[in-house]
Amino acid sequence: MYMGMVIDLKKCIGCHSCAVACKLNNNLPDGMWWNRILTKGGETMDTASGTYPDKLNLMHLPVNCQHCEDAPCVKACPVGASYKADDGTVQIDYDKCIGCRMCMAACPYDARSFNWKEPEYPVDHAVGEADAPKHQGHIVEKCTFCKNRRERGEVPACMELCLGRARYWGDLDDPESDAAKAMRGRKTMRLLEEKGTKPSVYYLL
Amino acid sequence: MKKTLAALIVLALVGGFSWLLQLVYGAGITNMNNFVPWGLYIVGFMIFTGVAAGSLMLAGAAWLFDSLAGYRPYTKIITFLGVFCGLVGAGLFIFVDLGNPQRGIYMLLSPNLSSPQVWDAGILSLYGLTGSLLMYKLWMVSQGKAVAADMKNISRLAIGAGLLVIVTSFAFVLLVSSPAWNNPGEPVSFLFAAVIAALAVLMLALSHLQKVAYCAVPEPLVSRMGYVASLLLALELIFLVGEACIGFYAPYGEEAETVFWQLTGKGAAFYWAEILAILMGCMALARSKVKAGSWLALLAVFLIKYNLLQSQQLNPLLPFAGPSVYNPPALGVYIPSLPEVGTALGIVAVACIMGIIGLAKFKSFFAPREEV
Repeated sequence: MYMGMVIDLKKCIGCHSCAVACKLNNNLPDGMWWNRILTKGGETMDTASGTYPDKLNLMHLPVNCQHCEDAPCVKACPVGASYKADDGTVQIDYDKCIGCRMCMAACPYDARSFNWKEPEYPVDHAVGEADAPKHQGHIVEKCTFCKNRRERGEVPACMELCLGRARYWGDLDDPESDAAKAMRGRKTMRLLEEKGTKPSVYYLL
Repeated sequence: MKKTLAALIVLALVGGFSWLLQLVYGAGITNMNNFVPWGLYIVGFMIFTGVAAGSLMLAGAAWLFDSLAGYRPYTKIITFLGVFCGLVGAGLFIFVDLGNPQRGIYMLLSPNLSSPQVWDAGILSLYGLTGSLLMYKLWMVSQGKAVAADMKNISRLAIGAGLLVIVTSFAFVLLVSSPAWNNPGEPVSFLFAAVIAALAVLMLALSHLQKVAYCAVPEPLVSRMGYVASLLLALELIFLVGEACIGFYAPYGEEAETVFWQLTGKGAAFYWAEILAILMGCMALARSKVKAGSWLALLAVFLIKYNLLQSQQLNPLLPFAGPSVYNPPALGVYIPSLPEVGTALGIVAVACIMGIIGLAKFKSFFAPREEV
């Protein structure tokens, strides 16, 4: 079993719904985003590069933890708080994290976030899933591929609210999974593939 | 000396207060962030680790090579100041940097042996152990219970342990996420910087001890240390120029981005200050201007480490625009916050206080005599 995600860049409209769904469902503290939509184009979000009317380029790139097969963060963590789960995803044991941030330095995707203070929230009660991870101050957090939702047989939260239905999730080893079927006949890429991390997130071009 | 001690105590108290602020309000009061997870505290850690490593090598070399026998009477001071005070400084910098230092026990209970940080912990422990053994042997010599020939093995161990400072560079060098760090010259630069930092600290210390008549330290001995530091600074400069040339020759790609950021981009002020400090330190030490040269050398090492960190961290591999908290194009330079600076100065002060009080209290032990 090798769980992965496929994101169709032709369908992503950069609405950030997936990022907001992730933030809500996981009750993320202020200033923390596990999922972020980058703009491959101009110098600010949602702007194109190039000059009008020709050669304008704009593409939205959702980036979360890539749950790499050869995860540099897992190798780098001094206490084993970051580990590879049996389903191939990369998880963090919050109770072990010493907050050294070695994993953040090791991650080529800047996918990890540190709780620089005790978590604060915009409202005075938790939102999202009742079994969402409990956040702690001064530890590193990142996308879990919604481990708690998957354990209930549901798909990651970012998939549910995607307006363009751009995300697919499944066992990449199973040719009949949604993710595997989505990749069929399409050109794919993985981010920073030359680094040898073997990410589990594929982008359809 | 009393005035210096008083000033250092005030600095240490300021440092304690700054750290208290960090405990109460969180590490967010530093200017580290998710793009700059390592800042001033790691710079301090690298410098103090280098001082400990370089001091071990110098103390070992003094007993291993007869040409350096003139330094033998001072090796107790070198070991105490460089190794022990250096380790205290390094340890404190890591302590204030960790988000949950109380969980450090997991490094013993469930260490991940593939992590360079575990190797660092092992190496620093080795420095402490080697320094202790070395001090014990030096005491034996001073009591007439051992002679120079008995120091050969511990000297080899000290030099070997000091050389392991190269391995402490692996926390940076082995990261595929950081092409600017991921180069084989970086371990050598770490070794040079370690010896430069150790020599600079020890030159300042020995010159001061001579000045306050704690012990006689012949000026040529200190100058010789300066010439070595000067040479190593020159080699560091060659390394930096080489990196810049590589970036310019093929001006595309991740490494080139980092080079241009330093030479002509947002990091230029820091980079050229580094080059200037190296040049001026090199020239001052070559001309036996020990005090000025040592301070410039320390500034150069500080800027080498500072620029090492910020140049790569502020040039992420996915440089695309994003939401305000994750927007690489808006990244500037890293300037530590006041509490961060306060804590760092406090740690330096604590290491200095330990050195001053230790040397004063145990003068009969440290004061050099003609060692055999």
